[in-house]
Amino acid sequence: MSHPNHPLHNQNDDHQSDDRMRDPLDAVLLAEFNSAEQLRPSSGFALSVIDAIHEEAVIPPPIPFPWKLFLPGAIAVLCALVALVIWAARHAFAPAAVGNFTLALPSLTSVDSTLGWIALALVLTLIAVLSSFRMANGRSR
Amino acid sequence: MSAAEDQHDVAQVLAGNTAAFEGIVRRWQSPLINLAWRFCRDRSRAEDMAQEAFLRAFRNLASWRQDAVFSTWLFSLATNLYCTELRRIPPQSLPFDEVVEPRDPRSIDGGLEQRNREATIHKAVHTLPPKYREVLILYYFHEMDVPSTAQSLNLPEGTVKARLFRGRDLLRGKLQPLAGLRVGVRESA
Repeated sequence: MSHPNHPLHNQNDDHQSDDRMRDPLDAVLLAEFNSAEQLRPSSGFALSVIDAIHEEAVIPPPIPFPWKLFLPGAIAVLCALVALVIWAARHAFAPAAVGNFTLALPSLTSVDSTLGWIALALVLTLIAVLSSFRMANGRSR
Repeated sequence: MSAAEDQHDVAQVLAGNTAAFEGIVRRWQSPLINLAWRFCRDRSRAEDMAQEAFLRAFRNLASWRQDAVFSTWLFSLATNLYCTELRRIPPQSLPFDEVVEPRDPRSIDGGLEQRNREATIHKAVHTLPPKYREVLILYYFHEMDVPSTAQSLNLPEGTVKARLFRGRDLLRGKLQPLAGLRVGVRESA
């Protein structure tokens, strides 16, 4: 049997088999690992594999995560958060540029900002409720 | 084993005829179990791993691109699974009696010497770092065929050759005490 890709003796193909037989380590390891020596499968092995395959075949595939439904909502929430951060930063630092930094704190607790927070919370709640309804409808179809 | 039969069975399974997978199991059960056994030297674990390999093959049958022979794809998938599994739970050192399982038709004395030698080789191979051990096992399992070994492990041939060289070097050091033993391929049963 010729082994054209023997890593240690690939320079001379004609002498590969001889080289292999001359190397006792190859002979020992071939005897240990080569596929000529067969371990016979247990009698029920094939049947148990086939049963497992049949079981596998009747299991419905896992429901994929609804990325198409999830992504628009996630993007909307992300945009809202970014807008909130920008809005909060403007309100916090705009007065500070004029005068004292501590002036920023009252502006954040003012009626305007409280209303802003409430509006944002309502929008986020609305988005969450609508997206959950959409997901539920999409799944039941 | 016919590549055409494999191809036909795969096409049948992909078309919805699950029963056609039986042909694949019958053709490849022995090679997959034998490969697993060479990794772990434990019959029941070898069969469990081979079963898992078949299940994984069934699940991923559609991913077999027919540019490679089915057996190459199957061996690659099985090897990957076996290596992962054995890295997760390394094989325990087995009782001496279990090391030589497939056959032992020799006389008592000859068998004992042979068993002793095989146990030593087995231990030496299994003390190698996994990357050398895996390459060595597959290389000799595939009858010293570097491309098959490389395909099974999804490694470049150059890497396989380098690991073989290093692995053999390490093994040679570990097997020095065996130098006095008779070296030869076992006679067939």
